[in-house]
Amino acid sequence: MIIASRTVVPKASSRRRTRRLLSSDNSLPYLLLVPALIALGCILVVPLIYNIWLSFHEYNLLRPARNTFVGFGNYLKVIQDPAHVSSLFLTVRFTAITVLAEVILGTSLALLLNLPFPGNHFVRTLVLVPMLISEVVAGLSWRLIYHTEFGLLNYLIGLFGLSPQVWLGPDLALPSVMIVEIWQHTPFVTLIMLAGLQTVPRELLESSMMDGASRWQRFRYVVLPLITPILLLALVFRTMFTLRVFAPVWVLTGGGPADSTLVIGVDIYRAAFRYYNLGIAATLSIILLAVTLAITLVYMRLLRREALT
Amino acid sequence: MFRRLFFAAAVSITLGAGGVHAQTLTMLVSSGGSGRTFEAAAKHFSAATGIPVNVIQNPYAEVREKQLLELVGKTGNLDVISVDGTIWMPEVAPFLDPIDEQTTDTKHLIPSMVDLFRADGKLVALPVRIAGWVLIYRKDLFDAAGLKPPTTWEEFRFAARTLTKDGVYGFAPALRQGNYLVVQWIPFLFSHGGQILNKERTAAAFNSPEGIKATQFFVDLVRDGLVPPGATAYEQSDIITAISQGIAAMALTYSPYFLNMNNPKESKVAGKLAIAPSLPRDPATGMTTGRTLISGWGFGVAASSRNKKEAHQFIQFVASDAEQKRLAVENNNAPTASAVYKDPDYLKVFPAAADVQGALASASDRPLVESWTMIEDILARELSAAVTGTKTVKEALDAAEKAVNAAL
Repeated sequence: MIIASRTVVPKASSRRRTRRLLSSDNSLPYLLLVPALIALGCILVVPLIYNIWLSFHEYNLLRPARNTFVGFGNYLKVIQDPAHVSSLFLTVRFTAITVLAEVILGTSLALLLNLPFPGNHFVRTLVLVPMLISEVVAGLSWRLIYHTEFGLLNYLIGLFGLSPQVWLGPDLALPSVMIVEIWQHTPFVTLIMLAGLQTVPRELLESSMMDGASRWQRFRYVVLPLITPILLLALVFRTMFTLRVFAPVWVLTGGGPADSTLVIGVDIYRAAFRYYNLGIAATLSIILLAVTLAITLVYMRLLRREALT
Repeated sequence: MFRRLFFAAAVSITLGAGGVHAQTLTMLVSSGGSGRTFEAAAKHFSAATGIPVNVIQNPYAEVREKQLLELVGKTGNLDVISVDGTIWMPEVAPFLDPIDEQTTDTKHLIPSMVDLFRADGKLVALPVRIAGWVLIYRKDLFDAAGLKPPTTWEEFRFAARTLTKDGVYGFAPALRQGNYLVVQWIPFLFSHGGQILNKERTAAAFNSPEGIKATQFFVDLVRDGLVPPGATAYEQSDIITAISQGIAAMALTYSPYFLNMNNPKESKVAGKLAIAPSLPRDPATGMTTGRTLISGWGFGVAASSRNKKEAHQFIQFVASDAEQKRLAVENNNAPTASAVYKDPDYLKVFPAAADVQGALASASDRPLVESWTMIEDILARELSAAVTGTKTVKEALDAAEKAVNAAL
């Protein structure tokens, strides 16, 4: 009896606790989160853990029987290989230049589109078009535009008496790929900044005008402080996406000439799907993740400071 | 394991979507010219035998990746496996069902093509499409300049220099970093007496006096301005465009491209092109003709297939004289059956067929090594550095040799 009561009581109490938990107002949101958390766990956490596991193994798909634990061996291999290291630095440089250009151009475009003028809505739609095109299709179209002998760009500069350029040659390949990236993703920044600009209270602008602030002063001291959190958000998103750039580089140059456009995305692809060396590919992607996280944390800290001030 | 299962599941879903039922043969093929050819072959086979064949076309890289994941996972979802010559052979050969040469007729096929698909002495696939590199030239320009198709590299350089004028360049090569650049360079290497690897396939052999001479010759064509300025970004398709638009006099490229270049609907120079009977050679080597690069598609049967008998029947059907002729005449396929090259119906649609066969008589493929893809990427990087002037030929080949030996 005693044993029975001992076993029954906790069961009843736990059932009661569960019922209380279900009926409580506080717990319902958490319960509703469960399916989403399970889904996230399956598609995010499990592959991430598996990727980390892979990075500690010598794992080649062609030799599944010979996969062994190598500790930090893959990390050492990557760090000691100048090709991998230079691809990482190139990616950071590529990201810094393109994201900066996208933010300056995107913000300028947003400021322009925030002004009332006839056909404003049509122009807004037009500006967004590059963002809607698939990256591969955009890359292929730009390959034709950049073609030295038959491309549109050399035809256009020829009209001004300039000699044709080898846009995807050793000197211009990197800037040419960057232009495509900037062309395609500036609209994203424009879209975000435009939404941010529309949240700036009209009264503030009007009162600054009455105080005699110039157009630049209004932007610098009224608009900019108010849209800085949005600007940082655009920076975070664009930095995260650009660090893993792959399609435009792969389609336009394949990483060449002479590895001059070899970004880490292409390096990972080669390791994983050309050499089937999943260990090295996983290591490179973990390093990329660490770099992305570090940069994002800096942004988040800035964002938090902005929010507090 | 997780990744393999994931891919296998994804491919299985794709394959399942086609409504596969028992005895249906399933295969993945590379989309484009070869995909269309094999799709036609599958239709002919189904009409003749009543056995349905589910042909799934994917981009080249995806076919390689998906096939390998299916084979490694032994899923049995694929019956027929397409093999891109020696590039894919080391990866897929261990998973293919050997072909019994006692009961399968291979004598009607071009012997060097059959040899491409042997691993450890065992035949594992039958050749169904040739990819051979030939010298295509503008006969009208050569005739007007009093030139003959070059038989030595010096004659080749002279012709290129003579014909580089009035917006036309002597030679159109594919020099973009990648597979294109390496396969463009290999016939130059072979025809100067060079080799990619040593006989044992244990070390790089291209950094030899012959290899350096070949590479210097190749690079000098670019430095001397005998190729279009944009050639450093050219892929194979750009060669077709350069010849078809009349801005280049010669191309050393994949033989079926001759049909695109000679097609009046696509080309400004249709009817003005010819194929050199052989590749130029370096007389110092004592070779009687140049030696070109040959590769091609083969069909094998997956060891994990549940329809092996029907799959073997299918690959023999596609490699037969009759089907090879039909695919050559109707689908521009470069045939692997010797008899087709003398067939009047084929010669009517492709009069240069005899020249192609002659040019391919002296040919070799890339060495059969598992790390070929890595070697190819190393060579592409260093050759790209040499043709763009980032490195000298010596520096590029030294760096390539070191990296290739490490990869082997």
